[in-house]
Amino acid sequence: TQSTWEFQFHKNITIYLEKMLARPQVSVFNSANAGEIVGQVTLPGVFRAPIRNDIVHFVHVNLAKNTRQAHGVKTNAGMQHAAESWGTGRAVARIPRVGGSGTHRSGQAAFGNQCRKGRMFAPLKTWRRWHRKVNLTQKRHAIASALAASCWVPLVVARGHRIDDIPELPLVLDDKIESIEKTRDIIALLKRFRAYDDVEKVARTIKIRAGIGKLRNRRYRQRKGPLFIYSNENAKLIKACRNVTGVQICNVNRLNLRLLAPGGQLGRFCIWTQSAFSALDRIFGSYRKTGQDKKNYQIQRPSLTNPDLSRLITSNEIQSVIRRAKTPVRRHDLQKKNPLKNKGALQRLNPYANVLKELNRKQNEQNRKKREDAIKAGRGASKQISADVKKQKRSQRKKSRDWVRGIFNQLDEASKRDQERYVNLATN
Amino acid sequence: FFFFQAEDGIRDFCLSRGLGDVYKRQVSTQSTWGFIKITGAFKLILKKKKQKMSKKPAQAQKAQPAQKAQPAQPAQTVNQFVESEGRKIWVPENIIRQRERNQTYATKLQELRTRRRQDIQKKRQEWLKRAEAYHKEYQQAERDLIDNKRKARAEGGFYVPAQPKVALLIRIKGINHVDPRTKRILRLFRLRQLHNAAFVKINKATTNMIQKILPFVTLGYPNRKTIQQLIYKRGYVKINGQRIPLTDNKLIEEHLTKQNIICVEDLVHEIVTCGPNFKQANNFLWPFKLSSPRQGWEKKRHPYQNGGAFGNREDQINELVRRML
Repeated sequence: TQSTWEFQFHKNITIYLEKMLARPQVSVFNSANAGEIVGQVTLPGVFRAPIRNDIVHFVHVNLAKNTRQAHGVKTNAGMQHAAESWGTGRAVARIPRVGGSGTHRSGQAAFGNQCRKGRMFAPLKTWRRWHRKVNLTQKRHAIASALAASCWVPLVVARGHRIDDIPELPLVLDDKIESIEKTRDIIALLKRFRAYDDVEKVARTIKIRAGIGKLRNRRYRQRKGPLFIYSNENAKLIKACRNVTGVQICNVNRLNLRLLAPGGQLGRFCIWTQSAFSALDRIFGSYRKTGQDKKNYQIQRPSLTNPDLSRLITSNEIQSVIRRAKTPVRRHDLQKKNPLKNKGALQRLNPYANVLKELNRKQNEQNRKKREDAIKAGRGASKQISADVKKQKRSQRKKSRDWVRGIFNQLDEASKRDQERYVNLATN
Repeated sequence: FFFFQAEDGIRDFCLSRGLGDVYKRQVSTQSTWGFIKITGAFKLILKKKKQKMSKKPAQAQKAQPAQKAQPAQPAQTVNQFVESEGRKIWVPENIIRQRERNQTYATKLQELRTRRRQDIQKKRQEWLKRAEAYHKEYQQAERDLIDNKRKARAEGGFYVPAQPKVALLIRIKGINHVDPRTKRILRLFRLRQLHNAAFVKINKATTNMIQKILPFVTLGYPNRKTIQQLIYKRGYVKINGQRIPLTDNKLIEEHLTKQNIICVEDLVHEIVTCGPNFKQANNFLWPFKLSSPRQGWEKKRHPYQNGGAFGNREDQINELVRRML
């Protein structure tokens, strides 16, 4: 139904609205007196854009290619010979060789990238694709992200700016600074707002570049200092800031990613003029409306309204409904214990085994006892028998023994006779 | 410096340190002021919507406040000041709730454990009972055999005990140079490896099959001790197609309750007496992997009857299995 759709729409809008309206007021400082706040400006919506360092990195990497100058290797380098291969059968490699005679060069290998004085592999050409086109919206998103990052102290500090003592971030000064003409006034201003540490850092770190770049008009490297952002085209600020090492200036209508995120690193320390700061709403728009100067540009909606995952996970809303972490269930013991030897294993499988063992033990005991008793009872039995009976038994045994012996003797004699007969037969 | 204070819950958007409700502690004018702003704007939206729609403002209005209450924190107040050593210590709300949750979980776990223990104790009683019954049964069977023999002898006749129902087949020869038919039959008996042993029900069908593979196996009629020892020492079971060691009656129970086999002794009994569920019980057992016999084989290429190894050696299988176990 329409009402539920509208409700849903409202609910989503509410979240964004809360964020948008959760933009606080930013103080505008009197450029002459750092302690004095002369006004308040609502934080522009672009400062609540999602900080997409992946987009910034992509855009930066590709835009950085656009200032490159074409270079290439001489087209005929290494090929200015009429070298020909000698072919096979000459006990030399088949690489083309310089013809002629009368010089060391003749017969030497030529043309190949492996050869001395040969042309390189894939000679560099000037028609290499040096420049990259980046989508306009992507570029705009990158700038928005860079601006959003510049209002977070941790990011700016992580980038390396010395902003420990500045009164507020974003730092917005009144428009009077646009008419500052003198360099010394700018320096005084920076000192007043405790931003001079950043400039000093730059001066401290000016070093000669390592590498060949120093011979190619890139002799020195230095850090980046504060970035002044102004809006008036005729601002004298530009000339004043020019000579201060590390300080850069930028017009708010022409924000440059290479200034806002140098090296692709988010969090440049920016010093705004009030009109520049206020102009951002007009330029970029907000979550509620598209930008005017950047026509139809809508600030990205973040995929997470609360990106703090650890906070989300530990929150009561989630913890009260998630289930317990499962412990890995092991189906069986890793080592099989032999129940025939291991009493515990046997007991686990067959609780009757112990009972049976006990029963058997008892039975064995009883049997043994019975046997012992029987033996004991039978002891001395021979004493009971009378001497006559014993004698009779003995004589009987003797008789039977003699009878058996007699039979064996007969057999022996018979076999002897048979042997004699056989021998006689054989000899005869 | 400027720092955006966070309200708890899902609505905040700042980069916080993830310390749960630490920020709830920090009362900030900014956020409360921002809160007022929210409700103010909300009313603005409602007003605007009211102007636009003439028909259903009431429904929308009703829905929204009700829903708005939901994402807000639960109504019950949690006393966050905890007495400790005479002082009141402020404890973050989510810590308190976490403790409560852990407590309920702990008690539930305790209950579960006691229930489990009781279940196991009951089961062990059952196993004991069954094993005892089987023991009596075995003893009775032995006595019956002796008595029958004596009776027959007394009458001047002979007692012929029933033919054995279960045989133990042990594969004697390796896997090379085996003709297809023999290979197939050995596979059907689950004797795919040298010195694999398996119980086999003896009937016409299996007898004929065994006849065809005789030179590759030795078989006999295992006694109860052999069967028990095999199952206890070399008993592995087939669960989900996997060879799982038989370390617990739970494995058997989970699988063979339908066949009323819930412990090892049940399994042994089923094999020994070749009961009605012999097939299931036997198939549940993975074929035994025996060692080569101590003191070795007699000539494997000759049948047992001729002083060799293969073929039916009836009761002598028990002695062999002792050496192979």
